[in-house]
Amino acid sequence: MISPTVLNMNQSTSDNNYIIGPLAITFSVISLWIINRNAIKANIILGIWLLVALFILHFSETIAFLSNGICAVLLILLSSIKRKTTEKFGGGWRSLFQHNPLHLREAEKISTNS
Amino acid sequence: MNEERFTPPAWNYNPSTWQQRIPLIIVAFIGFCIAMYLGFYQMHIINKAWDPFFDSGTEKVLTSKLSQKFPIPDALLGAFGYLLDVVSGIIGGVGRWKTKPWIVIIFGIAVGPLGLVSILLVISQPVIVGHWCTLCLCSATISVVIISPAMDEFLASLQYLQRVKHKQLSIWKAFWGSREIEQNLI
Repeated sequence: MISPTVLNMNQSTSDNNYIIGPLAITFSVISLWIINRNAIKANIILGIWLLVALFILHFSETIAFLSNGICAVLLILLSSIKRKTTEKFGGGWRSLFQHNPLHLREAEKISTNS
Repeated sequence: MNEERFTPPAWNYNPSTWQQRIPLIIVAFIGFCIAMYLGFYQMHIINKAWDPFFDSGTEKVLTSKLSQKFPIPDALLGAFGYLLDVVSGIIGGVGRWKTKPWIVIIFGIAVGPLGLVSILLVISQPVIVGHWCTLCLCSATISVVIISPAMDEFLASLQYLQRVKHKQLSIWKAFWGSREIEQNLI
C-alpha cells in the first residue's frame, strides 16, 4: 500500500498495488481466526497475480519490479503454510455442504445416549 | 454451566458467550463513533476533520465526487452499519445461536458486507480519490477485524438449521427461535 509512494511507481503499477495490498491484508486478518483460516488461500491467488503482473505491467523502476516480485513470492509461500488447530467447529464451513456432517453425527450420538 | 449447555455438537466451545461477544460490541461501538464523527463533517456540523498523517486528506476523501454520489452521507451509512452490529451483538443470551438464529444471521450479514464495502472504500481512496484518510482507514480496519470473530456464531446457527432440515422440521420456525424445536433438537 505504501510502495507506490516510496518506490515512485507509475500509475498502473501503483493502482495494482493499491488494490492488491488491502485485499491481501484483509484475507490475512480474516484468516487469523482459526474458523476462517482457509481465507488465507485467497492470498495465494493474489500472489500469483502479482507475479503475472510483473510481466504485464510496465515497471518504471527496477527496485519496484524486484519489490513486487519478492512480495509475490513471500505472499505465496507464507499463505501456503498450514496451521494446526485444537478448536472444533462441528466440521467447519464444509459441513454445510455435506450429506452427513460431523455435527449431525455428534448430535445423533448425544440424542441416542440421552 | 449454562454456557456449556449451549456448546454446539462437535464444538469444544460455545460461540455465543458474552466473553466472545463483548469485545466485538465494544470494537463495533468504536467504529460507530468514528463513522459518526466523519458523518458530522459531511453534514457540516463540524468544520474540520482531524487527520494526523495526511494533512487534509480526510476532508478531501469525505468531500470527493465518489462520496457525493451517495444519497446520504456515506459515513452515516457506515455508522448505521456499526450500530446494527452493536445492537445485533447485544440481543440474545448465551445460547442465541440456537434460541435466536435470526439475530445471529442478521449479525453475520451486517458484519460481512460492511467489511467488504470498507475494503472497497479503502481501495478507492488512492485509486479514485487520490488521497488517504486516516480515520477511514481506522474504520475499515475495525470492520475487517470484526468479521472473523462474528463468523463462529454464524456457522453454529447455520449448522443448527441444517440439523433442523435433516429432521424434516420447519426451518422457518427454527430460524425465528421456535422453543419447541430448540428444546427437542440438539
